[in-house]
Amino acid sequence: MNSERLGYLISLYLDGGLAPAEKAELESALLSSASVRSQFWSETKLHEQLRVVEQEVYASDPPKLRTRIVCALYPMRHSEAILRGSTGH
Amino acid sequence: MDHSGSSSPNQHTLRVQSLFVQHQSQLRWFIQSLAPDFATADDVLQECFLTISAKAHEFELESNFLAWSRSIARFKILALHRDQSRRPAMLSEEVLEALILSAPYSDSETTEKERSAIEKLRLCLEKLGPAAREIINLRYFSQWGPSEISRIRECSMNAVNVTLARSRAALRRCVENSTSTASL
Repeated sequence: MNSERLGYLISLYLDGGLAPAEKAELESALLSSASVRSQFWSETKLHEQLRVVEQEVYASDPPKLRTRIVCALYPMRHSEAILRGSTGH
Repeated sequence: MDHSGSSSPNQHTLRVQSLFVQHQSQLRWFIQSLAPDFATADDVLQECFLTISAKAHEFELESNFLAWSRSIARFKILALHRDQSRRPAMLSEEVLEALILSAPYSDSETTEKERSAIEKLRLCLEKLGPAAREIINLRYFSQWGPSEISRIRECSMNAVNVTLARSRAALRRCVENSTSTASL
């Protein structure tokens, strides 16, 4: 398995999106090689760091936090209108 | 066990708890890698803290805290795996054990290196295109999964999965080559 494919499968795993066949493919690769396991830990480190960064950025910047909350609550076309102040939300 | 000298059992527990705080990021990485759902990983981390506090008297301060705390986390992760409802999202027990054995240990410069890596990642995130940045925000700040993100963004789940995978790959390349000025 090439590194790009492995990265994609680990990405799906981290997001809970592995289909059974993909899960079997990833598990087989992880059991087969120490370098694959090393890439696994490297990919999951980025996952952990992204969580830390995102929490820090928005905790320290309330306007950005408001943007994120609105975008999270409404579909894109509605959230843009809300952030422009053109609706009653 | 280090209950000698001026260290009372209570002080000992506090020192062990402060070691937990010091190693929390490493332990969360370990747990989240093996139980990737954020809420589940947070629950396991919290349970580890409670167990570590309860068993603090068993820990010798001169020994390896991360190894000890990981052994506690390992039991909790394997217990999770025995819960049938959680099993589909987790790797097989054989794979979990292989990963646990291969989990890297950071050196004594952990905190400094960690901060530096976080700063590089922060700069790299600014280079992501707006759509990818938005999806990363929804995944890591709002902590929603691909299905919720696809509903919010009104796009397919496959598109979300591909964007997340490509964004992570681009961020990895950027962090590894932090002098690069190329736009992602």
